[in-house]
Amino acid sequence: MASEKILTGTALERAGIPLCNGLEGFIAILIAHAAHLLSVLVLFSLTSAVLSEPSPWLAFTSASLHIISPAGLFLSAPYAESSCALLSFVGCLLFTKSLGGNGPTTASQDMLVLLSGVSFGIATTFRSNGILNGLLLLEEAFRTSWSLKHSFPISSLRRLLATGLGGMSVAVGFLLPQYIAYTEYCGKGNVTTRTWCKRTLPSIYTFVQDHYWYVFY
Amino acid sequence: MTGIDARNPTSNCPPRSWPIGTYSTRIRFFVHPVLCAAESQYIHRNRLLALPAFRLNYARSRLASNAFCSLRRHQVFCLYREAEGKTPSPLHATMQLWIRPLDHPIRNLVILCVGWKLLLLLIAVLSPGPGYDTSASLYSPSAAEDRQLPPAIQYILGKLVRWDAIYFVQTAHRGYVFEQEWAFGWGFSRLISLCTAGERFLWLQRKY
Repeated sequence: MASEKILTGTALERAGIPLCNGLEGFIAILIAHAAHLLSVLVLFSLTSAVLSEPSPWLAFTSASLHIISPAGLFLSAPYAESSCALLSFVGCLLFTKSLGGNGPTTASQDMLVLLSGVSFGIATTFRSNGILNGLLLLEEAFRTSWSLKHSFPISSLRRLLATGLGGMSVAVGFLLPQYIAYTEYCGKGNVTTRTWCKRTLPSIYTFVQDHYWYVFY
Repeated sequence: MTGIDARNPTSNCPPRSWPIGTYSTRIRFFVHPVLCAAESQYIHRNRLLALPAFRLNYARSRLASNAFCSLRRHQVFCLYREAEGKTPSPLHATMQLWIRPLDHPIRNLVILCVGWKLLLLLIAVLSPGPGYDTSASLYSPSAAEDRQLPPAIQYILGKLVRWDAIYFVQTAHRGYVFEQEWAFGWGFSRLISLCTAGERFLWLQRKY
């Protein structure tokens, strides 16, 4: 019995932190706070990175404004906003770093564009409107495709592949939770089938917003 | 205190033995923009800050031997050097945060952020009563698990875990059960679960 308890014990318990009642809320608040702090710092680097002429003052101001964001306590309470902001900023920063000048991009820069897609994808699992970040990658993919009009350099093809994979990561971030929900509620084992399972796009997000919150997409 | 001498403006300038350019983070400010033409490039690069004149005495007491200040209209401009290797007092650090935030942007952002978060928490904690929204009462820890968090933390949780937060915390605790719970970030609730529940976080869902 005792050994079973140890085996099924959680990582926290093994680390010496007992599993308390309401621990989830506490951890979630810690995550929200940490994510807000980190997002402020990442926004500082991001603003510095996107400006062609470095302006520490503007970067500092933008980061400070993000601290006193009107979202206020929403960024302290166990909400996904602050983590989603952090991941979106990280993705944008990686994307900015991945842009070469006028010349062809290097393999490591293409890696960064892929990683930015992964970051956007995780952000999308936190808040589904994170999918809008994918527009950055979409634009990059179009731009790269357009440059393929005349010649097919290997670097452009690699760039296109990396951008495409990054874009797919964003899509996975949007679809994976819905797929899990679909198998959960619309799987074969279920006796009662929900109405949304039979729709052309069986999206639980759309259905739930519509049915429980009267928000129509 | 060196340099408050209206009749001899050049005495407001720092001595030549301080080479220009090595103070970008050391020197906090500011010479008289007109009187010390040699410093003008320095002034442009760093923002000028004007101390109100009534703080002159304060500046005197704080800055003493390593400062060069000048009185201009109703304001004091100072150029001073901090003692090497001396950690600034909290008051000094706070002043610097307002005066020259760009010297240590990251450190200052962290200070600002932590301060702001503490202020928000304080407001939340001091808000009396359950508030107009009573959803926090839904988040009542069950008596099943014997270990409880410290009362102070439980109190803060009661203030912050309400509205949507209840969904996040609940789904992190026992997985997604009801349809409407899927409207609340799957990734976030899985992350909380990952932190609290180790290996059974991802797919396994404890249904009640």
